[in-house]
Amino acid sequence: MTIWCPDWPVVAARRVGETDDERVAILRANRVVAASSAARSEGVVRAMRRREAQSRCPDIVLLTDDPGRDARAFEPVAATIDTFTPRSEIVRPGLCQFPTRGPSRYFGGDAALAEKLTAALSAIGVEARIGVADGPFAAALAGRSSTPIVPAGESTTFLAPYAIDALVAVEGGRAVTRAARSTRRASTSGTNDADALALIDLVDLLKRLGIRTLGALAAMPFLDIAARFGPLGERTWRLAAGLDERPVSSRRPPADVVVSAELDPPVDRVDTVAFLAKALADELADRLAEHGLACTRISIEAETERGDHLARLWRHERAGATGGLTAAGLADRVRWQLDGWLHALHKAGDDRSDSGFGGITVLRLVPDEVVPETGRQLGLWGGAGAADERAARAFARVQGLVGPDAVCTVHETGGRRPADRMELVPWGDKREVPASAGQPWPGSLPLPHPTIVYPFPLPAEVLDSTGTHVRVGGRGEPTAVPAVLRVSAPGAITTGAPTTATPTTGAGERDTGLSGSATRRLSQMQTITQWAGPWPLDERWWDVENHRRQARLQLTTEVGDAHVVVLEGGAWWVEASYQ
Amino acid sequence: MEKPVLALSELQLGGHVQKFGIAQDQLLPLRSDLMPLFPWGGIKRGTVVEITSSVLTMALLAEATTQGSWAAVVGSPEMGLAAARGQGVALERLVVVHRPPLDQAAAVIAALVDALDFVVVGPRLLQRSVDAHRLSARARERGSVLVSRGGWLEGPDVSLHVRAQHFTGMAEGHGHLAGWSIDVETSGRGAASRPRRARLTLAEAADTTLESAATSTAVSGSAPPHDEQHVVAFERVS
Repeated sequence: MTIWCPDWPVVAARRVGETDDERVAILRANRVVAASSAARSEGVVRAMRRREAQSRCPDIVLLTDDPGRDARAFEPVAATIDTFTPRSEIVRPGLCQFPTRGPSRYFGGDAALAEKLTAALSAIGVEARIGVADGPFAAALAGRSSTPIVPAGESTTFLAPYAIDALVAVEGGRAVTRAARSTRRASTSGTNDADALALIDLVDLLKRLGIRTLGALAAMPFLDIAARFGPLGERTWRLAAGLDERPVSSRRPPADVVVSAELDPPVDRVDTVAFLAKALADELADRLAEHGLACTRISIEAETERGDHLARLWRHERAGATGGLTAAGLADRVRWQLDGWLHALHKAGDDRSDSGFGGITVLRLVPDEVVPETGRQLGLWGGAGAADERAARAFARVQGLVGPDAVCTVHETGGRRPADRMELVPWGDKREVPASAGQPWPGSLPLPHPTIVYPFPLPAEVLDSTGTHVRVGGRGEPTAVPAVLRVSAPGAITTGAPTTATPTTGAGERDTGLSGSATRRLSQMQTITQWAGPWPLDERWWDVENHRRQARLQLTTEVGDAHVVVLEGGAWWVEASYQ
Repeated sequence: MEKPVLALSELQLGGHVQKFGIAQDQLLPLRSDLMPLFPWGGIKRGTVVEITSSVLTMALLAEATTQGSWAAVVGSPEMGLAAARGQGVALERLVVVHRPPLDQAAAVIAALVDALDFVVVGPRLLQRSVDAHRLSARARERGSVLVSRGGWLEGPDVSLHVRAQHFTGMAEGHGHLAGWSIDVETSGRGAASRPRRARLTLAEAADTTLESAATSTAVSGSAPPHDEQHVVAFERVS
């Protein structure tokens, strides 16, 4: 059985009293992630930009997304569901599921159970949609449909007519917006977004292959799907076929991976708890890693000063797709849960109007269901070693200081000119490897690569021994033997310099980045001792803006430097140096 | 009787005393031909090294980054990154922060020093010597190496100067730059105060495709197929 509260972020915001307006939308990263029904009727939909939403509905109240708030507000709902079954598991705030076998027999059938539960939830002012089916996925779809209760064994037929997009609608959860897809930035919620994107891509591909309904997907041979699409395809097929999404290999964890902390003095503040949650989650993740396991369902247990024993199950949203919860994911859930409990405790304390209420004295994390860690797809930058994680945190911090585009990783692209060879990609951004990388690029300079590539080439003059300008003729031959190189001081650079900077390096600041002494050394008149070339370069003649026509020279000077100078548009420039 | 024996052992050990005085985990791996430039038989964590030469900086990072160290290059937008790869730097463990705002530079470097083994600091990035002082102290504490590209406002522990560069392969319009070696001399403080010299050969791993392609271009340059078109070629203002 799945209990789904539509637009939970909006409901949560109302419940904690942040707003009581009719038209509300919740934004994350400038995109609508949830909207109230009143706002929706005016045309505000998910993945819409802030401005667009405001233009459709001018008096809309916009709130920022806060998973903590959602979780805190969900606690009473979870508590109500707990009165029906001890084994409910929260998938995310707003979505909860439990096996109905025991409870429905006790309450006299699925329909009766659903009815009682709906009544109990509406008593605390929560509108929920309840779906019953063989598996959580089918149940979630049933909850949205007009036939909320699918008889046992009929899930496959129930699912068959659904369009394959249902996978994204249900599984993608809050993370997926078109925005996330277009920016392809897995910054905020990390792997969750990446998983969701992978799912979107898969569904997209399946549609293009002509598989448009869940029934069509389920009709495919399982082995073929697994062979072609890997673990994600395997799991998607299981969902479409109405089977249990859980991987068959899930098992009970060994007893010693429980982590717990005794809290003395008892904790009653959310911010203290946040630190604690992080530390415990890290410890648990380490312990699990030692056993080669990943946690897909976690039981968060706490004891209070008054001797109450609290426990709640949290389930990984896309269990089985990518292994278990990460340390950060665990920490989030622990924090949300404790936040929820502490609020409930505060409230209980207020109601009894006595001075003290029970703080939390013991906190325990028990992995409830684990799967063998099959090894997640490693990130672009290799394994998750301690040094790598530390580095990643530092980069995130620097991005926080100077903006996300400031910290860049270096990737190879193809190109003939020195500045074209490498591309900078902001840290954390995904990047598709261009086909041009690793190609021969005939016409590029021979190795070794110049070690200095000026972001803005330095204007120069190449003269022969009599002091006349050296030109390069149509046959690629110099008009005279180059004898003297004169470089203008970088300060005197005027506009019109052919920029070699790649667009990502951006800034308009004309800083050569050279130290004073190097600049002085360059700006003298120097005798050329050796030279090679010129080599003509004529690329992208079909593209008016990027067309380059150059002749390049390598030369060394009397002071012992080597440069690459190019003739372009009738003028010489020092494009790169060996230094 | 004791004294002469002691004196002898000191004499025999000589410069090696220093080398053995440092635990292996205090050293970061280094290209073997750079080793003689440092008194510790590697590069000691927590030092400040000043290197103005771009290629020498890359050579310094090469071995450590391939063995798992992370490096950041701050404020050196002119560094040729293709060359960095050619010199053996593992680009997957290199990040660049090209133009940090000057008022934030110290904070950026500090954050990187906390987590990375190498932080390369561009010239003129630090405006105040107190920043340099703090960062040196932080690098010492965190065990990372600060590489200054010149103008470090505190005295660096070791400075590497390029005394001379030797290029081969070019001759009056023929050939191309093929061989490259540099003579390096050090100066510094403490154990590094004795000047050391070394000659480094900086040839990149031969990439035959590029090499032959470039050569063929050079050849075809002397006999271009479309003559008329090339006459206007390089004089036209584009």
